[in-house]
This record gives sequence, C-alpha cells and structure tokens, in this order.
Amino acid sequence: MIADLGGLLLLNACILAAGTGVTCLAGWWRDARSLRWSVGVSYLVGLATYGVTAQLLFVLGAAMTRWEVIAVCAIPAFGSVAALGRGGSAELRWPARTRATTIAAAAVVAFLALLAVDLWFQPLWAFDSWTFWTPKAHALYALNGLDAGWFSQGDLANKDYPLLLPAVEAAGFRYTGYETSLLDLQSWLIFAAFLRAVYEIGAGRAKAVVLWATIAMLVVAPSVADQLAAAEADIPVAVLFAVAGMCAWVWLVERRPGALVLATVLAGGAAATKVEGFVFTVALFAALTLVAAAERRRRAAWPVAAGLAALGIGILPWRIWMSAHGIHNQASTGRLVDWSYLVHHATRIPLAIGYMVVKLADPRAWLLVIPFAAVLIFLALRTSARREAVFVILAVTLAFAGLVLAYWTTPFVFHHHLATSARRIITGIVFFAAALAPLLHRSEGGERPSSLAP
Amino acid sequence: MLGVPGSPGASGWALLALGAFVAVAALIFLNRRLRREPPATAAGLICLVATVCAVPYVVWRIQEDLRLTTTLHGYSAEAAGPIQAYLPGYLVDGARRLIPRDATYATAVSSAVPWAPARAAFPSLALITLFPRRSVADPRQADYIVSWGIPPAQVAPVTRVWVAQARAGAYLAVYVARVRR
Repeated sequence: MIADLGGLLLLNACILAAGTGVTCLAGWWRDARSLRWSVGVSYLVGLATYGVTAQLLFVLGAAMTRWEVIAVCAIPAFGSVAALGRGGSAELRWPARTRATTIAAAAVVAFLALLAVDLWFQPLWAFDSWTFWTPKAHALYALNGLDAGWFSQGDLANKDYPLLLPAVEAAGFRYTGYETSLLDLQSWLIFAAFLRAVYEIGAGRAKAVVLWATIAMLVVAPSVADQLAAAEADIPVAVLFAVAGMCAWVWLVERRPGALVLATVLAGGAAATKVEGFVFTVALFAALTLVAAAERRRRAAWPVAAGLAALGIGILPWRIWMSAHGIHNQASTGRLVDWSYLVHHATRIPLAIGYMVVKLADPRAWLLVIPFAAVLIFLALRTSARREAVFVILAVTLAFAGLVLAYWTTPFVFHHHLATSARRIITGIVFFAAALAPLLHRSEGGERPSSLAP
Repeated sequence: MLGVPGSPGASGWALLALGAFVAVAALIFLNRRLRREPPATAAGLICLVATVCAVPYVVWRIQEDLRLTTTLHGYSAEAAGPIQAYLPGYLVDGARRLIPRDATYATAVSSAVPWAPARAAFPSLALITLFPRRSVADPRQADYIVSWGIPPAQVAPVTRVWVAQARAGAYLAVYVARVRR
C-alpha cells in the first residue's frame, strides 16, 4: 500500500503541475515566490482541468491510459513557461508570520495528519461510493474508457452523474492498481488543498483571527471527517464551488480578469462532479452577474459568458453522450414545468427548507461555521463591503433555492431522499459561506500588492 | 465514519461537557478583551475558543473510528460496503462461474428478504461482483437471472436453474438461471 500511495502522490503531482500552468497563464502567480502562495488554488484548478478534460476525452472514446493521463496534465503544465518572461515580485509583502499564526498553522497541520491516519485505515463502506462512484471509476479503468454498454446498464445507480470524480479515481487506479482503500486519501488531498486555498486567498485580505477561526472550524468539523471517510463526491464538489466563489470575489472586487478565468475552470469542475455542481455554478454566476450589473451593466456580460463557459466545459459533453446513449436524466426539466406536480408536492418546500437549515446550523456537524459566517455577513452589510456581502448572500440563497427545488421535484421518496442526502449536499453551501465570509472583513494590513498576482 | 457510535455515550458526553465548561471559563476570562475588539474579531475569537474546546470530542470520535477500522482485514475490509447494507459480500460470488463474461443478467430480490437496505443494495452487489458483465432492466431480455430468495421462474421463463448460494439462516438462497429465448 505504501508503493500505491507513491503512485497516488505522483498522479496528484501531475494534477498540481497542470494547475500551476493554468494559474500561471491566468496571471495568478508570477514567479517561484508567488507560486508558493498559489499551491492550493493551483492544485484545485489542476483537478478541475484534468477532470473536465478527461470527461471530454472519455466521451470522445479515449482510454486514459497512464501516458494519456500524463499528457493531459503535461499540456496545461507548459503554461508555467509564461512565468519565465515575467518580472519578479521584488516588493512582495506577505502578512508577517506571528507566533499565533505559526501555532494555528501547526495545529491545523496536526489535525489534518490525524485525519489522514484515520483515512489510511478506512475501507470503502459508504453506500454511494461502493454502489456507483467507485464502480464507475473501476469500469473506466478496467474497460479502458467509457463503455456505453456498461455505463447504461440497468442496475447502475445514478447513471446520469458526471464523470470528474470517477475520472480522477480511474487515473489513480492507473498508478496504484485497483486499490480502493486510497480513495479516502484522494478526498483528503482535495480537502487539504481547499484549506490551503482559503488561506492563500484570505491571507492579507481578511483579518487573521477571522480567517484562522474559519480554517480551524473547517478542519475540526465532524461532518468533514465523516464525509472524507465516505469517499463520495460531496467534498470535491463543495471545494470546487467554494474556491470558484473566492476567485469570483477576487474578480468582482479587485478586477483581475484571470480570477474570472479560474472561477470558470473551477465551476466547470464542480458542474462535472455532481448534479448539485450545476445548481451551484448557476447560482454563483447568476449572483456575480446581478452584482456586476448593479455596478455597471456592461461588466455583467463577463460573468454571463463565464457561467455559460463553465457549464459548457463541465456538463455539455457528458449530457450529449447521455442523450446519444438514451440515459435518463434524473433532474428532469419536465417536472419543473409540470404545474400540477409542483402544486401537488408544494408541502415539500417548507420541510426541505427546515430540514436543510437545521442541518446547516447543526453544531454537531459543522460546529459554528454557519453562525459565524452569518455574523460576518451581517456585519459586512453595515460596512463598505456591502456589495460583496450582497454577492455572498445572493449566491448562497440561489444555491439553497436550487437544492430546495431539487427536493421539491425529486422523483424519489421525498423523506428518504432528504434524510439520506441533505446533510451531505449542504456541504457546498457551508464551504462557500465559510470561505467567502472572512473576505468581507478586510485585514488592517491594507491591500495586497498587485505583484502578488491574486 | 464506521466506528463512531450513534450516540456519544459516557466518554463522548463527558468530553463535550468538559469542552463546554472550558469554553465558558475561557470566554469569561477573555470577556474584557472581547469587548474591546471589533465585532468580527470578537466573533472569531469566540469561534476559535469553541473549536479548541471541541477538539477533544472530535479526537475521541476519530479514536473510536480507528479502534474499529484498524481491526478490519481481508473480507471484513473488502466487503465493508455490502456488510453495512446487511449483505454478505460473498452472496453473489457463486454466480460468477455460472455466467459467462460477455453475457447479460437481470436481478430480482424477494420481498421476504427482511432488510430493506439489503434489498436495495443487492443489484449493486451483483454489479460489482459480476463485473464486467452487464445488467439489463427487463429480465426477459437478459441471458441470465440472478435472484435472491425468489425462484427465477417467477421472474422470466428459464431453462436451467442453479443455486449459487445456499440458504443460510435468515439469508435466503441466491439462484442463477438461464433465460429461455
């Protein structure tokens, strides 16, 4: 298993390399020094880049062998060459490291290490992971690609879920063999990169105490440990959505065009991970468009284009493939416009809202993450960060409304569906609110230097 | 997490109570400083204190999980998913030698199987056990039937029936049958 872990780390190094290329091309980092502060964002951008590209290539008939995986990562990685022609960041001013921040960082790393130990011994046990996520990855790996007969078969659950997670897991199998016990560690790497990304974007922008309180609550939250151990897609989709939101915030506030490019790639990755990713992507770019339009109407065209691009790269190839192979889409638009169905099931709305609100605020799952984010957003509404606060509120509200709509129109047994999935699918909203809320309270240290790209 | 008890139990509640006590004490101690700080910073400090006080309970959960997962080896680890759904991981193994790799199959489960999660998960167990064979929704269109607790002839016209897994206690027999064309 140790050798297999080496294979998994090699794959993730390839994903990081792909991400550094994309983030460099987007102007997110300029030189080796600023790259050090872009590792988390770059890794997640690499994950999204690999995932959506692999999904497209699977749809086109590729097998994604070991060398194809390397090639898919190597091509975007060449984007890092762009850094060679750029000037350095001589006036780089990063927030000074204090004793308190060093202790906080050490505590977070120690807790992450504890989680890794727990996940090392974790078998594949969660229902969704052993019934369809991992079997899909196994099929991509063992059948050398997207075998239409296998992926459209009768007993395969959630056939319409997109391919990012199975594609990443299948790439892992290329390096480790069919080793399912490492899948939890793959989720752990994604979560660790998320915390790093929250720190990279938040440091120097948000108050240190607020930022570290958020990071500490996220790493300690019992629900995170539970979900990492389940090796399902809820953590990856939540991470990609939240960091896409942070990049969108950077575009909105600091007017860096590259940030919108990264938000597009990350949101595309979220859409390619899970059906909820589609809802989150629409919510993010709708909120961004509305806030940008309130400022200057012409500026709103960019988030519209970015949102369409994210959905285009994230789900369009997969939906075309599904349609070509007669795979039924569970999120049927037919139910959304069936007034008699909607009216008949209207009692589901308050139940879904109430249940999800309770789950969001449950300290046994999320400690004080959501109350803290709510306080920060409320305080920001009374300050100069009002516009950004409105952006966060809009995105969260639209994402929440999208989930309510999904439960309202669910073809499954409503109470069972709610009870088995709500605690997981709200993770996207929790991570998004937690990651964005600290940015609404600026650091006393002032603006970050432009030389430090993002 | 597999090994975390459904309810915290005596140890869990004790750690939670200890954490709450320490949190209240710390907040009383920090009261003056909290009043001086801007509201966002004060809220951050309160959350940091609450998080630190929750750490012993969360670490206890991880320890309870490790206590179970470190004992899982071989079958209990490989079949952890099906076992969670009250399914023996080997339930469909016998069907593998009876159904050719390029054949299709359909599954059927008797309502006499007493565990709803097991009934729901049986098709998935067949899917992973019989990989790369493919399932079809309509038993009459399948080459083979894999049924649990229900005679295959009740599902589709069949030519030959095998017992892939004999009945064992509450676990009904698993049958494989070739569908008549």
